[in-house]
Amino acid sequence: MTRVPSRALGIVLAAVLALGPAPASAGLLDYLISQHYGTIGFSVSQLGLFTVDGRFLRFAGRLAVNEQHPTETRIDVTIAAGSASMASPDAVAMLLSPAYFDAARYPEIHFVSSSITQTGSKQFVIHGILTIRGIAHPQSLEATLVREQDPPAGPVIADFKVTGSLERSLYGMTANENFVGNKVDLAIFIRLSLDPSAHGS
Amino acid sequence: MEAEPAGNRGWTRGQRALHWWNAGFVVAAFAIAWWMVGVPLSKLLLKFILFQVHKTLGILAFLVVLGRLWLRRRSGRPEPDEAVPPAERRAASAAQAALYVLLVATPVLGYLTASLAPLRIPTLFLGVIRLPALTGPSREWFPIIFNLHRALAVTLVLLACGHAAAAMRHHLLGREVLARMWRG
Repeated sequence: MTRVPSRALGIVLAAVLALGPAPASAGLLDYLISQHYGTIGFSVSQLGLFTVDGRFLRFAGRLAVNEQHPTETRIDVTIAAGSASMASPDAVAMLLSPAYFDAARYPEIHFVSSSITQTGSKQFVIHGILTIRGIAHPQSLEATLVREQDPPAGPVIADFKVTGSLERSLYGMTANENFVGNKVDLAIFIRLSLDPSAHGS
Repeated sequence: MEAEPAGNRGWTRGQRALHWWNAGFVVAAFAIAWWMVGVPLSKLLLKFILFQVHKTLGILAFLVVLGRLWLRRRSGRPEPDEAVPPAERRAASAAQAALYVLLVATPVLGYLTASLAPLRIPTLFLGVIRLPALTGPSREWFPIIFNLHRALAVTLVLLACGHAAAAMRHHLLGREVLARMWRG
């Protein structure tokens, strides 16, 4: 709040989403999403008796805040399907097999937002398209800003907790229907950092 | 259990019953173990059910051997068959002691294996009673304890086969050993 215009993401997003186009002096702010700071986790109930979880080790993305054209603000994340990690190597092998991610044929999982709405002071709902195994479906995610830093020196960072759930059968992953639950819960923690090479104008 | 004493004539009814129940549980648990590990993950429900049956059989075998040890302590054992040569009697005693050790240790290690497994799959005794894990998952200890469990199980079954073959041999030689355990 001390600098004008602020580079702090929460303020930028709130301003862009709530107030509409910013003054012409503002431009594109590019925040990077890195696998080095954050996790993309998933969990599935088995028979309703117990839960098995895992996460993706490799992913990258960006949030491009377009201050002049707020509706074009985009989140775009690509996940390496083959980087799925679980406690059991057998479970990983099963997850990467053609019955599930078919990682050899579809190495990438992709999410791109279509719109972002603010629902609270730090809450956002991200609507977008999730593509798994080459099959695209609408997906919404709920994001909460949990921490934000805008230090005088160093990059701006904003930590978000993101949750959502999807039905795996929508993406053609119907194996073991009698055992593995259809609903997959997502537990995502990401850190956005302002790309120092591409911000501002 | 009943108060029938194990005199010189034979094993008590309870001892005989538990001996055969124990044998049955061990053989069934072993056979299912052989089957379940080969079931592919594409048949998860079948694999899960087989694991639960295996665990239940193992726990039952464990409870039965505890009962047998208690009965043995309470009622003792019959006098050895005089027709069996002393060297064979000593070998039989050693083998039977080893069997008791394996009958206790194998299911204990099996329970530990389930507790250490990377995926927190519950143990449902008799399909419904959820038993607690003794430890958390451990990638380091799981393969060690699992391999030990398997090695003890194979040793147990091989030793039990030898035990059964020896009993059959005694029987064919006209000795009372097998008959005493079978019909008292």
